Amino acid sequence: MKPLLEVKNLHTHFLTDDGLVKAVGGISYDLHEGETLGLVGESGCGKSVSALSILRLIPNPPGKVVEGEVFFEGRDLMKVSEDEIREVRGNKIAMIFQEPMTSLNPVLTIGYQIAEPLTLHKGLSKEESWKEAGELLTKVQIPEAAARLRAYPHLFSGGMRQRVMIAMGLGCNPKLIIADEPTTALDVTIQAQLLELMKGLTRDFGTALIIITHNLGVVARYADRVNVMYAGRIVEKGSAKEIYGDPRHPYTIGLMASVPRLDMDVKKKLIPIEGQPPDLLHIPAGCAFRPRCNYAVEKCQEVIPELTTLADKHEVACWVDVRRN
Amino acid sequence: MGMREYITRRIIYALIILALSTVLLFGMVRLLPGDPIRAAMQQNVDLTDESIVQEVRARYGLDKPVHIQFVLWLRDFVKGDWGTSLSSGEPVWDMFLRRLPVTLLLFVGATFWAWVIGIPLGIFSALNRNSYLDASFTGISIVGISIPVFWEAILLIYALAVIIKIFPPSGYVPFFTSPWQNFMCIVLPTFVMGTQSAGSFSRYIRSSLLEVLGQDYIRTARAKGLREKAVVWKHAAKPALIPVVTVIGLSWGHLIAGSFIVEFMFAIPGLGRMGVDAVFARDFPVLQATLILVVINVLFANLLVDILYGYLDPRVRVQK
Ligand SMILES: Nc1ncnc2c1ncn2[C@@H]1O[C@H](COP(=O)(O)OP(=O)(O)OP(=O)(O)O)[C@@H](O)[C@H]1O
Ligand SMILES: [Mg+2]
Repeated sequence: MKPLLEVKNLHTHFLTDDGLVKAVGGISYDLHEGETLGLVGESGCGKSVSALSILRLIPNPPGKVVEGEVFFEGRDLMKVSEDEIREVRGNKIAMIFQEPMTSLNPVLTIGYQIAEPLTLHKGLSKEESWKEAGELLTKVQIPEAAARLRAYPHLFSGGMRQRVMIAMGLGCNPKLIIADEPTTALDVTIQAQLLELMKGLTRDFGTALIIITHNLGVVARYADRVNVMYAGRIVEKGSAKEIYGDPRHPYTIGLMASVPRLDMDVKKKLIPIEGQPPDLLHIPAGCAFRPRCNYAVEKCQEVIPELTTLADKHEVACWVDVRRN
Repeated sequence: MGMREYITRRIIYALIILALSTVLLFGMVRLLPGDPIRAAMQQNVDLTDESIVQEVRARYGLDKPVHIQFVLWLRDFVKGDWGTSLSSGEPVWDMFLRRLPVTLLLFVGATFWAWVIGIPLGIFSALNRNSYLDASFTGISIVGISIPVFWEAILLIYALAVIIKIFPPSGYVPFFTSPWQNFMCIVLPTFVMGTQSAGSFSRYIRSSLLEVLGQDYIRTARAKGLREKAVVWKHAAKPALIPVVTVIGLSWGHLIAGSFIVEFMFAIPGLGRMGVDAVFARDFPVLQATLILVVINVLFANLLVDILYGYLDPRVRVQK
């Protein structure tokens, strides 16, 4: 079966006053209908930029997708016209952003903001879209939904606003939802509630989901497949099970060791990854992770390792076989 | 929460400030150096005769203690009895009514120029940030803000009234005498009065719109698939306008200052001219009335800003 989304060798750069920031340096992955993909990595490694690039939402200037293809339903989204990409945005592919407090317009009512994509893409009348907005709010479990439509965002808590964002994203029954750290700003219980809700709703509709997060717990629980990103590149990808049970990239291993796991012996210490993530202005030659890597060999300094397939769909970009050390 | 309560509260604040400023202004005018009676009568009366001076002083109530003078004056002021001009003998209220339409016309004209020039320049600059046109509009705006009013007036009169004789260099023809001539003689003065506001509107609108366009919720709007036009007008315009409303309100208050200079330079018989004449003639009743009008005008503009704020920004309404 053909994948729903095929990202091929995507490069996104920002031309800043300090120089060229290579935020995304050539990533490729597929996503099938109904699948959930987790995109993990430290802050600043290019997760959001790679997601925004898919919908051509990178602010230009300073940013630009300089290379690569993104096939969605057979078309390369990087090449289609402005009108065509707008037909995809909010309709076929919806985004849920990482800052629930600032991602809603403070001077427009909740109802208007949810109804907007419905009138835009489904051609609903004002009354119809308003009515459906109420139903969507009920779906994301906001009580007294109809009455809340007239409210402005500042009256809503962070969790409620995030529910509104989800309702907004679901409105047109998209094929793909990209949720960019949808829950990081919220407390743990609400996080769990929202993720369950989102997962449930996407399962019902067969929607594919990309969850961007630094929370490996989220990935383990909800994702079918995982891409681990480092300095704008994917360093390891595979099924969630493989990434957890048999991580092969030193960075993935470090990431696992630095977060608590329920199945872990409590006496075992957490080991943070030494050093800082690289400055994307000056990515070192060779493997970007080398300065922080315990396994590094000479070759790592010179040649960037490409992703190589280990087993069925499990790929890793590393010169060293970590199992041997 | 309600809009009505919010507006009522704003009106009460404005009235309190008005009361305080009348006290202040009344005191300030008394503190001006020079004896108004002597200044007013210099030309036609023998001022060595103390009894005459005393009599006139009593007639205008200037012999009473200051606080009594204030109470009397305030009572009369509210009734519309604003005293009579020391220099012309005409009731100040009548002078005010006659000149008010002239100045209002100038205000409206100046605001027209400020909006028609400033708003499009600002929006265009923001939407075409860092283009050559943006840079030149920025230059033009800064010139507009910083050029002295009298200097601009002289330049324009020289260029468009003396060299190319399009507009009359000065003077005023009432609308009902000749609408066309009335129009021609307010073009230059209103343009001069509106220049500064036009410049500052354009700057503020540019930066405010740019700031809003960088907000997360604008990205959300784009991610919905809206056209850029809808993003700007539906999602960005209103929040961008909020800070600009303050500037528009303030500039209305500042127009008064412009009208003092402009009416003087273009020989236009408005309230600004009345104020300038009153200062030179030490014409207390007129001066006082003028200053209070300045205060009322500023308060009125601020009140309007507050109300607009409440309308534009749902978050303001709930604040206590
Ligand atoms: N508008 C921009 N201008 C310049 N550089 C940018 C811009 N947006 C992003 N970047 C750069 O791109 C890099 C990747 O940013 P991105 O937001 O994708 O990180 P992220 O992985 O989503 O991090 P986080 O987990 O903190 O959200 C950052 O190092 C940042 O410096
Ligand atoms: Mg991010």
